[in-house]
Amino acid sequence: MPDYNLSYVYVLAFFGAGVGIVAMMMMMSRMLAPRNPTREKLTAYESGEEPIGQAWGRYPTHFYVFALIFVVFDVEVIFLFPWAVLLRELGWRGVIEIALFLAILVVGLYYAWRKRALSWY
Amino acid sequence: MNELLQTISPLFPELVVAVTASAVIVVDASLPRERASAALPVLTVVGLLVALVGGPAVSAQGTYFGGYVRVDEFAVFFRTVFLLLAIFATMVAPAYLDRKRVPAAEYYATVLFSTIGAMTIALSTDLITLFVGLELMTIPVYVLAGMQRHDRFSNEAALKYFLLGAFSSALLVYGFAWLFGLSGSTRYADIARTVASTGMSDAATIVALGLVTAGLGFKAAAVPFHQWTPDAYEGAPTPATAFMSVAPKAAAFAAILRVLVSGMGPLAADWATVFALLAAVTMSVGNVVALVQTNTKRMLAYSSIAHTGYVLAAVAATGAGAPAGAAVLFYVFAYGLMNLGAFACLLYLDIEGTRGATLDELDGFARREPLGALAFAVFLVSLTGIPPTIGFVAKFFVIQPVLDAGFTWLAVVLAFNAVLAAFYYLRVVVHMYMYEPEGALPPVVSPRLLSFSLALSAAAVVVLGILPDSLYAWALAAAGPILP
Amino acid sequence: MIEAVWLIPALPLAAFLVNGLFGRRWLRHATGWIASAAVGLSAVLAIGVFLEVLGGRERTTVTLYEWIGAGDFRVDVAALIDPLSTVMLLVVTVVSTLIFVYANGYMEHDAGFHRFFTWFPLFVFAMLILVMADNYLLMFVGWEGVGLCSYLLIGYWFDKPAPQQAANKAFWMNRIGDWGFTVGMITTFLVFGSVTFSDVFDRVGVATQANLTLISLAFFFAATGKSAQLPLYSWLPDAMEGPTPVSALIHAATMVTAGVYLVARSVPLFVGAGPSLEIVAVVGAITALFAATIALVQVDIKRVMAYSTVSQLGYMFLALGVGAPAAALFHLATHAFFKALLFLGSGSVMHGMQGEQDMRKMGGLRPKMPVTFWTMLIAGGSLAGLPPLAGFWSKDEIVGAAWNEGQTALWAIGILTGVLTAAYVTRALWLTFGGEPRDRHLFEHAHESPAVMTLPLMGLAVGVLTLGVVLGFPPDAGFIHTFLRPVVEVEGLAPREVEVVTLLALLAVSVAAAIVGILIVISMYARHRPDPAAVSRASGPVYRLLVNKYYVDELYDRRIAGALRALFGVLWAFDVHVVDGIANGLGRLSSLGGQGVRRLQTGIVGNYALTIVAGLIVIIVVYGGYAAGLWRR
Repeated sequence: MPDYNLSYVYVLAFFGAGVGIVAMMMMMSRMLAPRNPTREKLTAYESGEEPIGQAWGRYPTHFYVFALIFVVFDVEVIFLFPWAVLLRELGWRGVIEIALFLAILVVGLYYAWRKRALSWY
Repeated sequence: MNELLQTISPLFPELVVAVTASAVIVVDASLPRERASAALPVLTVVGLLVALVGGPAVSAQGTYFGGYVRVDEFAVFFRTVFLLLAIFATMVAPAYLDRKRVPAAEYYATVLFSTIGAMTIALSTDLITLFVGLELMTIPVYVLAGMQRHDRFSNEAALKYFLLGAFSSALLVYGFAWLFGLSGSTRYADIARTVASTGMSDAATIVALGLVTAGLGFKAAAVPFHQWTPDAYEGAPTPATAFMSVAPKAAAFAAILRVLVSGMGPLAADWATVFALLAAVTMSVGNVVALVQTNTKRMLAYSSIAHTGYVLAAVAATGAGAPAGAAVLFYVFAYGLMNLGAFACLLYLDIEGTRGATLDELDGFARREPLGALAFAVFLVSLTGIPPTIGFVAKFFVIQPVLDAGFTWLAVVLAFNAVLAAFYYLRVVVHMYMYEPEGALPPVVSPRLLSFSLALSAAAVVVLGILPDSLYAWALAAAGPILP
Repeated sequence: MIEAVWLIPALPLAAFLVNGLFGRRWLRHATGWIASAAVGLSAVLAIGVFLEVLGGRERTTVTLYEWIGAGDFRVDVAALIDPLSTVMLLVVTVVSTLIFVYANGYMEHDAGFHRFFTWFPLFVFAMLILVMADNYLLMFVGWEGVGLCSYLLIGYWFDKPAPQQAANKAFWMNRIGDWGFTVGMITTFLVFGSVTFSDVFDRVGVATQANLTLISLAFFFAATGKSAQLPLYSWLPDAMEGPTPVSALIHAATMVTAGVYLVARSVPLFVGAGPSLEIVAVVGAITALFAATIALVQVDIKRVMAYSTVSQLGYMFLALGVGAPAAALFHLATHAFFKALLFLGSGSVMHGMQGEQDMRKMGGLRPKMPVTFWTMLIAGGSLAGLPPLAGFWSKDEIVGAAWNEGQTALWAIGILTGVLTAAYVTRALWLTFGGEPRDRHLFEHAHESPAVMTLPLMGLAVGVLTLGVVLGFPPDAGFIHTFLRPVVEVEGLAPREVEVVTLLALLAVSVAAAIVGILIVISMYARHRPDPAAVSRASGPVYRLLVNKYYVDELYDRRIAGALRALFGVLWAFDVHVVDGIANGLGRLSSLGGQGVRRLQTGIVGNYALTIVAGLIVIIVVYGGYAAGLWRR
């Protein structure tokens, strides 16, 4: 069997372990926890909001834009972490590169801001 | 710092275009609307010109970025094509964008981003680079199609194009995955080595080849993967149609040359016949359906499918060596010039929504807009393939290798199609020149920039039709890295 | 001088550009003189070139630049100047000059004056490219160019429906012929590896007879389109919807002779090609007779001339077919003069008769238009073949060549056509100028044309009077024969020695034929013995057949329906149907193919995706089939 096929076995094992652990956790809490349901306890979150209307209701597209911007920053952070870890090895070149990267994102943010994508109407 | 500059200098044109795109967005966001709309096209064209002129000077040939990117004559040729098309698409657009309230900055920026993607495809030596380029090219084009937000057809065009495009990309990636599975590498060179040894004996190879053919066939709008074309072309704002009918198609052929001809070249004998069949079906269906269209925009959409067929014929003829590759490159260049021009000629008519003019609406167009009609006539004559235009020379260069490769029947089909096409192209000319305008016709607007760029490209169509030699020589050199 | 040969087409091209760009706003009527001057200058240069060729430079190639160089395929933009192309250059430029001058008068009151003088020099340019080209590809450029200009000029009065339809018909018929040119050219390249005349003719030996037959018949098919021979002749009479100078120059003197030139140029290919020459001769002879019979009963003066042109072109092909290219070229030259003169004369009549073309409304015009009458009489005599006019020498030579080749049947057809020719031209001239005026109103307003129109008539008349003797005397050994000998003399086409007695006998027969024809008509129309009306009544069905032009247009029309059903003839059907009525055949073809495919275009994304998947599966199956060896590569 070639090496790269072997690596799928690891993935499979990892997947199995993940499913197993989650299942075990849920089962244990179900078995060990005492159950005294009251009205408050049955709400979605004890401190949360009651849902109003259906989940299929229409949302303003603004949420979509926010979500996009959020994802952009999320990804940005994913890139920043390894860079920060290797800051010394990468040296000034790394600084320049990450600065360019951030500059591109800033351009996007600036555009979003000027097009009033950040303000709520 | 120096070292960094050296690393990125091979990608100078791509970087310049990227910076220009960002600059367009920033300028638009900072300036008031009127001043921005004057400044943006200038900024865009200047950026593209810097990339065009500076590219060959700064970007030395060689392999870079750990072998993911190669700058060779092929890449340089396609870079030039894409940059020229982007310049053309920018110059014809401003008046239309103004009139239809299409957001101008977004138009220019998406054209620029798409151009970067297209250029990346030409640079690729690796499936990953190729795919990144392909998506970078197509996603902005989806946006372009839907840019006329308040038009129902524009929305429909964008959505259809997006859904089917995503579908075909999935097929393509799946094919790439099979190729990777076969050879354990994403490099074209490694893939070529592997398939050379396995041949077609392996079912996996067959599936991979089929998926890649279908995926790239979609991007090039080959029959039976063409059906999105008329809907998307018709619904998109006309300048966007002009751009998306040429640049993605050119890029698709760059991809076909890179993946199939250099990556799967050892199997050429097997896929050549399939491509010849695809070519014959594509050109015939495109032409026959174009024949019954009464809307010029839709007619040109089908005609663009027919032209895909002609180029596919040249691809199928790779057995004839470098002239076949050169024929593809030359045709792509010629097609870009004349097809973009033909679509752009519809911009003279101020028509409701995104649909192009019907034949009747073009009655007496020559009287109402002589220069525009003349340019349109030149493009149509060239699309027909009548000398002395670049379209004639391009077809001529295709027929040659097709015969050399032994596809005599395909050459006959091609010639027959050229005759067939004459009818619907020249019908437009007849309507423009020989019919009296009657009834309420859409008003004519003649922006100077549009006339200027159309005059320029129509002149190029004729001049290159008379003096095609140096361009062909270049195409021949550019085909060298793919088909020695 | 020869090195500057490119100036000859460059001048009309320049006139086209100048008039096209500045004609409408600024130059207006100056366009006419600009164009005429340019073409006149070309004529002067052509004469210079001619003198130099005469001085002994028999074959010169002047390369302008390398056009296409793809691997071993090389085509130059180069001119081949030899006696053959020189003759054509002379005819084209000289006749053009006279017609251009004439057109200044004829078109004076037309609103599209500048447009006319934009396309007209463009035509001359294309025609010159056609005759100067040193290879088939460049010739094809000129070939297409003259076709395009012909289309534009036939449809010059585009606001009327008839010219539009005539233009379309001409265009599509020519396209059918062009297909033959393309096939011939591609086959030539495949067989000889070159499309340059000198290379091809040097390598004739490498080709098999089958190759040569295919090539020569393909080229001949192209020639039948451009030169209006059977079966592709019917566009030419309709082309008379264009302005008269156009009919004179394009559809009588020059463009329609392009087919003759093509065959004459390619004679080396025809000689080794089995039956090709015989086919050329037979088609030519039949066309000549066929068109002459139709010309006999037409009432539109220009249509008579049009059918006469078809008939005379048939003579030229007959000459080529019986191995007498020099005679063909000779007749081409003389015909250019006398037919141009006849057309211009008709135009002059129409000009004086408020555009009337129907001969039934003319008559008795001789005293009103003396110059037109006398010049047309000279031209008519030449067409009828009366000595010593130009047409006599050239036509007689063709008919004689048929006899000498032993083609008695063709000779007889030639003589019979001669009788008919003399008859119809006499009839046309009589109906126009002789007898009593039949439309008083038109007659009273009739007037002679201005000098700008009559002077070219006289110029052409001088040509008609002298050319025959100058070029063609003594028969078969005149100047034009000596001049053309180095080009057209091909192995297998040796001229036979003919005895003087035979020669004289043949001369006598053809002159007698002409005189018989003339006398019959004069007796019919002047003395009503027999009365023309009675004759047409008596010959009822034949007469109707002729008036309806043998129902060829209708035949073509009906034939298409059948051809459409047989998918094999799609190209033919498509093209011919467009010719007659345009739409029907197309509608049917499209509903066959287009609507079917169109129905697949549902607009529903899911269906599109399904099609993609179906296509993918088919492709994979096809690939799989290759791999499994189910079908061969």
